[in-house]
Amino acid sequence: MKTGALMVGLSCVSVGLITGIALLAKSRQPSIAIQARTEPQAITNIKYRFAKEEPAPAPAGPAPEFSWHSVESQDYKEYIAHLRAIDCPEETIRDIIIADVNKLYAPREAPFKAKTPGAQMADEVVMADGIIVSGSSANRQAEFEKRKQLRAIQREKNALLKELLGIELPLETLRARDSRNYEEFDWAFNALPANKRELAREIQENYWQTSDALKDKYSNKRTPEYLEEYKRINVERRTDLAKVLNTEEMEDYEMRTSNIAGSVRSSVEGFNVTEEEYRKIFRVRKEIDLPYGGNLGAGVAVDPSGNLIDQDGRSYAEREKQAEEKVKEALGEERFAQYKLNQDYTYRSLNQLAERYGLSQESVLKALDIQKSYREQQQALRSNSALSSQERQSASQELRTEIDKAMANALGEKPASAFKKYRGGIVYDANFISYQ
Amino acid sequence: MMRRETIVAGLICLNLGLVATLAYVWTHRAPPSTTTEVQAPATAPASKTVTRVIHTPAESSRPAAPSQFTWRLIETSDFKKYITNLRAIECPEQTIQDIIMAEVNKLYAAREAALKLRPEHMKPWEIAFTGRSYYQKQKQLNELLREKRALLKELLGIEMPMDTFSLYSNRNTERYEEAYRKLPADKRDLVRAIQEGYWDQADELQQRTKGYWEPEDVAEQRKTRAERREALAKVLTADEMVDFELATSSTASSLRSQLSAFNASEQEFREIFKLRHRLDEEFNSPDPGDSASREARSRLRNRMEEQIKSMLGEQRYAEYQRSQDWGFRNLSRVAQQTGLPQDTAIKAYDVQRLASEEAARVRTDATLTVEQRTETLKAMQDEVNKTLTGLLGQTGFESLQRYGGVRISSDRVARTIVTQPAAGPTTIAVPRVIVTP
Repeated sequence: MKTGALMVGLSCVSVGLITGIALLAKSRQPSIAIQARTEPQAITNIKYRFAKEEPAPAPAGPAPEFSWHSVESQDYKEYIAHLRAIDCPEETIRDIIIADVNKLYAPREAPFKAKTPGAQMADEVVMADGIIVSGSSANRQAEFEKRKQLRAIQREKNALLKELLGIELPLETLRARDSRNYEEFDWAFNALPANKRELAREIQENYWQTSDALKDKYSNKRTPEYLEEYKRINVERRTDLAKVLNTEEMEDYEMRTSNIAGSVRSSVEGFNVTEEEYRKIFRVRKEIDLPYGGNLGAGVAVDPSGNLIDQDGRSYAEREKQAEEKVKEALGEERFAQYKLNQDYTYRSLNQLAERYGLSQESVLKALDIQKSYREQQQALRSNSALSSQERQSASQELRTEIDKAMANALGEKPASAFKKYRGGIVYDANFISYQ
Repeated sequence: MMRRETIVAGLICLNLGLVATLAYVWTHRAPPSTTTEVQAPATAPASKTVTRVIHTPAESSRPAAPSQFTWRLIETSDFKKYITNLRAIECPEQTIQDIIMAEVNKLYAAREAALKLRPEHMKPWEIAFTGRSYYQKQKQLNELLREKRALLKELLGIEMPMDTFSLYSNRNTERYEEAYRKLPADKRDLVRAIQEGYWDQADELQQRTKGYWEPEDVAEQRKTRAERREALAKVLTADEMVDFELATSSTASSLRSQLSAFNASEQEFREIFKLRHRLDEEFNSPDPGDSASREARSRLRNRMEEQIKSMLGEQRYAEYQRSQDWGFRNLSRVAQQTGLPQDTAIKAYDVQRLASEEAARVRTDATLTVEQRTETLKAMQDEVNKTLTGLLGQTGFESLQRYGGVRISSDRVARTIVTQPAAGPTTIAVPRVIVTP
């Protein structure tokens, strides 16, 4: 009886051990678990991955217990599900899938990314119908058509990525036919909140195409009719953008992209402008410089004969003066004086010289006074009708010699000599006399 | 009885065997997910350790079954280990590259943005700041880009082109990358390092001089150029060196444009390039007062022309000289675009040349009044236009007009050159340019 019970006990232990071994062995085969989880899916219309990827090199360590082959699939959705099943982080899944989809689309995109031969040459092109088109314009149009086709492929690619990963990737800006600083717009789009980026991009892209068509309609002439239409499309563009962007976003967008943005940036170079000051200056300039509500800067509105068109019956100089007053009001006396000084080309040139030769700010200001004094004396000589041409020439030469000496005293021989060699010694109308 | 004991003994042996098997299976099961990693083989320590950021999924989303493979088993903050682990599970090399490149890009994108140098990383009012601090940032950015490139090469063995940044020069880095790719693999890094080292020195010099060049700066510029050439010559063979310079130098670009109507053979182009390149490299001073350099350049240029003549022979040299004339280059381009033979361009050029010579004679002819000169030149212009239209066709002629055409008649020239008009004949003969088709 005892032996019988022992036999039963030992048999039970054996069964238990066999079960334990079987369970442990099973747990070593995750690929089987994954396969069991991925039920056959219905055929979808989504893209399939490349059938084969290059064989992996032999693993450096011991034989793997898990193999990548068990997650691989030609079906993107299945592939993603497999990656998720092994706890691959979502960000890594995105990296893998985006790179894979990019490679899938690369051959289709390549012909539209390649430059048209001769596209960079400013030659004309004789079209099949014998009409000569300005080469750069014809090539630009051809390049634009290619970019449109590329955009269609990229939209398809992005739709696939959205379906697979639920993410919206930014599109490449569709650059229109005519040249613009598209990079600035790219930076501006990227600075917008992600959910507004594509809407703003689309409004701007449509505007560019309309604007190019308008130029064709008026043969690149800024006639009053052209300017009216130009004003209208800009009002439309701004209205559309205002529906998407809030006031601050809109202003930031314009501070990055409008033509006056460049001139405002340049006007505050070296001024250590604060955000508040910058916004104030930008607002004043925008009000003055954008009579057409678009990117046409001041002074570019011309009549059919090429004459500048005054805005609101005021000349450009009058509007400039008004702008200066407003900026002064916004910045206050002291800061405005610094702002004006920083805009002075002579001051900037002298500052650069000072940086080069380690001169003091005092020397710079002294030299600036000398330059200003030269200009005043030169103007006095010019308007002195009592002098003959020869006398004027001689007096001017004497003045020049004096100024050179004074500059050498203020700056030192070497810097003054360099200033003379590379900047003519006089920043204001150096060759004034020779044009008399 | 005896049989039962045997069975019991057998069962004991069996169970012992099963216990041993169980122990073996237990010790060789998948390691617990929280602590164990797939071990990487020993690798040489990297000169600079860049640590990954691990994207740990939320605990709740993770089943964390200890017996199952999970990504955590291969994830590590050490890029090299991570790659080894990915290889150990037979992840394809291409996928490894995708994963690592995306991670490295993200890692460095954050560091680049922190520098606030590129406009997209700045607020509009910050973009307005320029000056000395910008140069320091430029240096930092380029160091960062180079570090990233070196890291990707070390990790994946791939060469990533990097768009290095310069405040002073608009360098076509794409052109350089293409030239590096054409070099033997073992020389690429060396050449790249020499080129980039040279750019750093050139930028440093620009930053220091601010466009005010003292003689010692000019000497330093010459020295850095010479050092670059010497360093390249130590790495590259003479032919490789010429190929590299042909692919990257501005001399090559301008020569290609200048010789566009010469139809140079490869050999001819290379030889002319070598001479021109030396001229540009050694005698191109930024100092306008550097008369010694100007004179030396002029002497070398004359010698160079003699060498080109002797290399090409009389006939080809004449063609070479003709191709230097932009007027001929325009005609040649028009002929090419309108499908006319090159001979037509040559004939049209002869018309242009003869007409220009004749026009020059008319302009200085003191026997003609200003009005007569103007009238003669105008008539000549009409005649030349007619001849050119006959040669090039209407389309070709219109195309030529867009390039500026052939200008014979010019009121301004007629009035200014001749200062002493004489009473001349009232009727004048219009010189005709006859070209045999």
